[in-house]
Amino acid sequence: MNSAHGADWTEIAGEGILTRSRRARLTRLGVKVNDTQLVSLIAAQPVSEDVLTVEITFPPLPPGHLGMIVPKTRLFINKPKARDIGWDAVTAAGVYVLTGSASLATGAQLFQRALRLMRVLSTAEADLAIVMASLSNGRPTAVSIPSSTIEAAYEEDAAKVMPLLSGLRKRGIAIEDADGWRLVD
Amino acid sequence: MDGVSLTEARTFRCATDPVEHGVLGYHDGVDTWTLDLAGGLGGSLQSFVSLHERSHQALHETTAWGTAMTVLGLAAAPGGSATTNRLWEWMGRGCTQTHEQFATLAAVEGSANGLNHLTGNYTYLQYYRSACALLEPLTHELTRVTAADLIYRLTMSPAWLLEFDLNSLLGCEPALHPGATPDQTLGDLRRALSDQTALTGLLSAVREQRTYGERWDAAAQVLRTQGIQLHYWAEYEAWLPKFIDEYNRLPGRAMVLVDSTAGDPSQIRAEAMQRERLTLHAGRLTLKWGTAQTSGQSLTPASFARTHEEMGPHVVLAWLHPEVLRKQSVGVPEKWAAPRLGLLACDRRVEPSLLLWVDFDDAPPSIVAASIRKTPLAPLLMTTLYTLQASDGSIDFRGWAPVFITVDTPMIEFLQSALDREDSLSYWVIGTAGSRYLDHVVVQFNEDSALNFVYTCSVMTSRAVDDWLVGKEGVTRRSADEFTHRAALAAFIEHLIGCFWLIELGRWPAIPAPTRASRRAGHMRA
Repeated sequence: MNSAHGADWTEIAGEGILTRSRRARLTRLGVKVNDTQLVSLIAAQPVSEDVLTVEITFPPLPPGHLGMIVPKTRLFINKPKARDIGWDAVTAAGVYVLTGSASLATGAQLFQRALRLMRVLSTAEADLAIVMASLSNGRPTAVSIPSSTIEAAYEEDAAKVMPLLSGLRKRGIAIEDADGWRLVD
Repeated sequence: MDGVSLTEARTFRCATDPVEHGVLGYHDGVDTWTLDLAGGLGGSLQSFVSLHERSHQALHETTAWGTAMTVLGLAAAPGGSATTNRLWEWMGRGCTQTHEQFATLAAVEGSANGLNHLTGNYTYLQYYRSACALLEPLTHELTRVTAADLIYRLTMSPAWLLEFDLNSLLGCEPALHPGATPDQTLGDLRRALSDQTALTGLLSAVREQRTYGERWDAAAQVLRTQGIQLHYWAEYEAWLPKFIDEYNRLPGRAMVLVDSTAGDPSQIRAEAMQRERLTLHAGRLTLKWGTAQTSGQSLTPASFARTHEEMGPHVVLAWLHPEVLRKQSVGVPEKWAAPRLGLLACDRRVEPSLLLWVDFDDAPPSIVAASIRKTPLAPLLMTTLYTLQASDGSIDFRGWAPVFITVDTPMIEFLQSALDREDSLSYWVIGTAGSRYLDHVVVQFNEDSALNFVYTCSVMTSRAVDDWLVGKEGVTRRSADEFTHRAALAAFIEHLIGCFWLIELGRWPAIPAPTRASRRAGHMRA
């Protein structure tokens, strides 16, 4: 169904906020995405204002009545504008801060910083950061993860891990210590 | 809106989302708000909703648009003109975004981890986001709360509105587009805040002006250069008392203008919170009643007997004004005019659910109580503060302990008058959970443990009352463990929750009008 805002707007269900390919990749890597939390977090951020909108449909009431009516909520995304603002980075930042069962309020406090990080990472690097967040229970800057653990999450793509980590280290985004790898705060 | 009861209007609904879960609370767009506790709303979510709705009221009572809506709302109900109703509706629709953005932001900022309560509630997250985005240019220098306080109040203050006196406003047709609405102004403000000159001017206004009025005028001046016509502070101070005086010449509830910048802030907060209404059920019960002589088999004493794990078998003997029964049930005989004594119970196992009443008319409680004491049932006596205030004073509760008096007229005024008389006062704040999450402020005067005044309210309201009372001379806050009638109180509260669908202070037909007074512009109360 079309949005009242125009043809650029596409109705999405909660899980539609991530691209299918990213969702599939993250799922393969063992990352659990809480869609309600993720949509809530993104919907609360000013960065999504021209991209994500809610429309409410009010069922009719008899004339002359104000009553306890039950509106229906529908969520729409403006895909052209989403591309303009780097939607992949926005959603990746959301997944990153919510990984490890962070609450919405906590996620919101961390979001801007995470978005700055995601905007300088490639898609593959962002996925790796999210995996590290997942493996460290949401504490990727505090808990070091052995490279073998990260490689195990990547399974047949394990060979991609070390080059990605090395690249992040060179740019000062990740460091290696005696216990493994962690991101720099 | 013809025929609509404004007292039940839900202008600003606060709902869960997906909304199938229902409305949690609403502001009536006039002068009060309601929390719906029937669904078990409790804990920090209850406080969040309470704060959200209170913020609607705060925005309403401190702005010209809100004042006009309050006055029109009161003038419109009941039997107001169609024009007034149309204008009130138009004004409500025209400030929905403004109100919801402000109230949602206030609730999130005003509670720890408040944003968590909006998880999955995309509609209100969008309000929150819009507020954050609007204020973002200002929040590099100001807190969100400070910025919101100024910007949303300015939004609710169109200059054109102050050109109307009450009479001309009552006859104003919204179809003639009398001026920009707050929601329209909100869009203009957004554009203005993206203009660096305007932004710098607004920040200077806040930084450099000493008083609220000076800051307001400087900000309004800046926005006029952007084509946004908002009133100046002195114009509002001149318009407000005149507008309210004009309203007070009409029949109906009076409004009192108070200066919110003077006086005890904790008292102002407590007085504001006691506007909060609680609905415990979807609606009123159907009254099934009989006289003590004729009730026969349908209303036997057994149908009133209840048991409580601590108190044991008992019946509730209630001394209630018929208006109390009318508020809580349908089918109260019209001829009932004075307080009356009766056995009270409810039956929610049948459809429609029943409020049961065996009527003793004006029989002395002592005689009825003596009869009850001959049975295995203990009498549990309750009344309400309104009933006592509206009765002729002849009722005598001596020899009864405890008596529970539900506070259903303004609590703060009641306690303040006792303090003014230098009565000593002990109070307890006791919370109950289960199907309804409630707090109860229980007050005893002058060490008399027989009479227990019970204000049943939300946690936010009990905190406000507690903050106001604590530390006052002659006032002692006691631990809940020290309350000697715990079992009887628990039983009484079970009956209250069963029999009453609505808890609110005031709104009684016979309440005398408050003293009318106009003081310097601050905020108004109806």
